[in-house]
Amino acid sequence: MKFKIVTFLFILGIIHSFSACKFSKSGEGELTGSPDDSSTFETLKEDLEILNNILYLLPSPGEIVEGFFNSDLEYKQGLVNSVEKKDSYLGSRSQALNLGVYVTDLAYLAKFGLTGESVDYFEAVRSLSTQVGVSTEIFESLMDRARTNISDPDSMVLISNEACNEMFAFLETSKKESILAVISAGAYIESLYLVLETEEEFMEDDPIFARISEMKYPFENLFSMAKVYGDDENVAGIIKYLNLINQTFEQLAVDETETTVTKKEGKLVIGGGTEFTLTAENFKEMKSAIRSIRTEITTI
Amino acid sequence: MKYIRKIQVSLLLVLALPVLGYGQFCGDFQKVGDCRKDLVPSYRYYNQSRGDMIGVGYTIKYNVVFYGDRDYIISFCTIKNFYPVHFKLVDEISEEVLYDNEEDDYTESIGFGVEKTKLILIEVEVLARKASDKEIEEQYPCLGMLIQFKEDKL
Repeated sequence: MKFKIVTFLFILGIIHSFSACKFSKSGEGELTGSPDDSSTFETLKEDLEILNNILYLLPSPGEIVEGFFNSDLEYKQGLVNSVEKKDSYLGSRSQALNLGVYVTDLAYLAKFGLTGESVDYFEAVRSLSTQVGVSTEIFESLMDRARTNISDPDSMVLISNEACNEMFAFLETSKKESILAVISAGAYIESLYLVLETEEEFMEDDPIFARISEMKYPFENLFSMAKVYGDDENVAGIIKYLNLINQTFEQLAVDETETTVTKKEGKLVIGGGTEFTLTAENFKEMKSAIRSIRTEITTI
Repeated sequence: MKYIRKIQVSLLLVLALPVLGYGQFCGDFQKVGDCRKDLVPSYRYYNQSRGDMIGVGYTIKYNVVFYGDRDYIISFCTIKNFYPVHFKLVDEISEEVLYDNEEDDYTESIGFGVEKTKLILIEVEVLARKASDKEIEEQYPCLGMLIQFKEDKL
């Protein structure tokens, strides 16, 4: 059996060398690793450490969009980034950030049943995914399904979520977590942009504003994920945006209560914890910060 | 021996994942493994569900966003001889253990409500009680974490 393992690893090693070539992308070394046998031992040590690290998980852009726009928030025309700009983004960081933006826009359009536009944004997601090194194969069947289900908003939402999951899984499995962090940042910023721009004015009792303050939680995971890959040039380039967002969240009022675990009618209930409160001033500052970041990201 | 085993796991990850990936190895394990049995029609699939490769002796830690006013079901699955799966829900800030399935005879699934949105650290390991030493040494099973939710005013 030991022989089998050695043989298996040897075969995988050969396949690996081919795959590394297949997936490497020339000219944009920051985001893609190139095969280097001499670094194998270092990689091995890093992987041993990664196994003991925390995996920071984020809700998908579709879930975030749905969380906001399931309420009274209505579709607002002209908010999404123009799909015409998709080929104008140059450089890995800009492409990855705007891929995240388009992923969120796709979820937003699908959510509101704008299925025709959704297909165009799906195409933009596919196009930019290719630019950042995601295999186009994962989109082929989804693209066909999108065209077939163009008149069914629910299916379009599912397909957009699936496309996102497939893309993120591909990046993770091909050890391109740094790109994943940049795309996630773009998607997160766009989610906040869409909701903040939809809300014209602050209303204290509107639950949407509590939801906006809760965006601090996925942000914390995004920030932690970005810090893990902070040595990557592209990730380092987005830290300034994340620091700015962090500053706005740091200004929120905090109400901390002890986390409790109780049983209610046989069900485990986790209560208490930290609650953040958004004020009119916080809303204004956050809106301004996100708008300027989003403008910087999407401007050609 | 433990060091050799860690090297084996890492070699497998380093060599196998770029081509086969979790996608083919374990990426959808939460959808195709035993976790499927816990699918509840009235609940929705949460996209922070995952499938990962694990080695006996390793602990995977997931930091998950749980939204408030929701009910959740978390289920874990692996391959036959690598059960039971031991998992803990840990408060991300206080590091207090909120739930440990050891107290429930290593149940693979737990339902719970969350009152306020929070980050919860989920620590998971496979205990492999029925696996032989040889299996533990030579196999690297998939671990699935299926998270389902429904909106619920508690």
